[in-house]
Amino acid sequence: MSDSPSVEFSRRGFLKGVGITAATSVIDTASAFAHDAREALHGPKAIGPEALSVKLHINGSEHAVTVEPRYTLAETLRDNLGLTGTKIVCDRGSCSACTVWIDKVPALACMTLAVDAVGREIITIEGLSHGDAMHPVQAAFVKHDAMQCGFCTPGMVMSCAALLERNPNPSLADVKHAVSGNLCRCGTYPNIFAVTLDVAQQKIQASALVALKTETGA
Amino acid sequence: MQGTTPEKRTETLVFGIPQNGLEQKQREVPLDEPPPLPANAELKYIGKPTQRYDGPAKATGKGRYTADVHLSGMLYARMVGSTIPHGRIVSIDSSEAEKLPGVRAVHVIEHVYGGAELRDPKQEILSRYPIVRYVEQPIAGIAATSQQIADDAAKLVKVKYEPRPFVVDRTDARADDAPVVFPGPADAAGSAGGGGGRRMFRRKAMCTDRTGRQEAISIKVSLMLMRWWKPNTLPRCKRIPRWKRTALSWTGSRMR
Repeated sequence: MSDSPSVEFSRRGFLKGVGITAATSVIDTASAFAHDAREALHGPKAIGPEALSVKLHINGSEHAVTVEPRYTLAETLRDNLGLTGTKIVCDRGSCSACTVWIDKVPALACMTLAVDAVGREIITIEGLSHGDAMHPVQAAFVKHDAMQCGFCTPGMVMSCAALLERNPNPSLADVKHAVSGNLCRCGTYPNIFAVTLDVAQQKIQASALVALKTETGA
Repeated sequence: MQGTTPEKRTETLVFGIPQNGLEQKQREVPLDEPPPLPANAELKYIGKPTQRYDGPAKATGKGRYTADVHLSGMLYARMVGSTIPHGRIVSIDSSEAEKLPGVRAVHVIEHVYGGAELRDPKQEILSRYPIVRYVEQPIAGIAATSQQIADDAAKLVKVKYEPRPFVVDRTDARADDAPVVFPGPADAAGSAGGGGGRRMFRRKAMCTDRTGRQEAISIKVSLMLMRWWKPNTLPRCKRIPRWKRTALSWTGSRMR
């Protein structure tokens, strides 16, 4: 389940807690038995419901927080750490407004428990910019006016920036796929596509210029 | 205006529809009429893109929305909504919710403001609590020191209903023996041009669905901050009437 070193859930307690459906429990019976056997050997490792202290690695620094095991990463970021750039809209994983990077991969902070994020590298929207210097994607969002109410914007920026990290030359279809989970009620999608393609083009041109300079220099 | 002839001057103006022939025409305009705008190319602001002034704040997540505001001593609210679309509330047991640590207040709503109201209140079905007429109709409100505690407390409020009939289909709602929402004529302020329904209009059958029949659920955050000492004012809120109404039901104030 969790690969974090300090916290581990008890599967039995978890099953009890969420009232898992019959179908899933049939599929998972074998592993559940294996887990029960391990529990019998090493004792239960259930945590909660009381709050516990955990250390989260956010935007390059360690943060010690006291959270209940049920707190999601989004709630912890917003309520405990004051990082309100991460927005909660649906709180059920369907709008992607809460997108953050967990180990460089975009993830839904409202669908991740804070205790599950222990030992992993979390980057939020606040971690993209440095002081007044915006991330190229953020600057392009402003330039192309790719926002209206701005409530989905942090999640959009995280999704688009993550796409450019893993694919420096995306096609329009790639961009559409990358933000397919991000809902924007204002309908700013066309500008968001333009932003992402523009930033990618600028990066490619810049790197081509650097390559040309080193070539002529040598 | 009669008696005095205002001073006028003659101005040459562009007349017609672009791409369909434009011509110059002479017109008399008042002397204080501002001069016509120069060609677009010579204008400084009109027709030029302008950068959104709060763009950087929104793109970097530094902008503060209502949901981002945390005041010291702020309490968090959760409404207990009805789980049935139509019925009479027999009893509400909030004792367990009140005992939960962190809960500051449990308020049972005596009157739901803002919805349709019977023209003659005497026709209302005899009940200690408001008659439930839609799913998620506010029944009680919880104020607690955190949102999680308020959510927990809301689940501890036990409401006993005496269900009344309802339909979920328009065809059923048109039937002669369809269940009636209101026992008499009812008006909803703010609907049908602000004056309620037509005077002879009578809501016949109840039609409901899981998202509530008040309005479409918005994906945007619907949230407000209220100050206790000024319950009549909503300093910041999204324009979603149902939420205003629910909150005001709580304080016992009317929406103005």
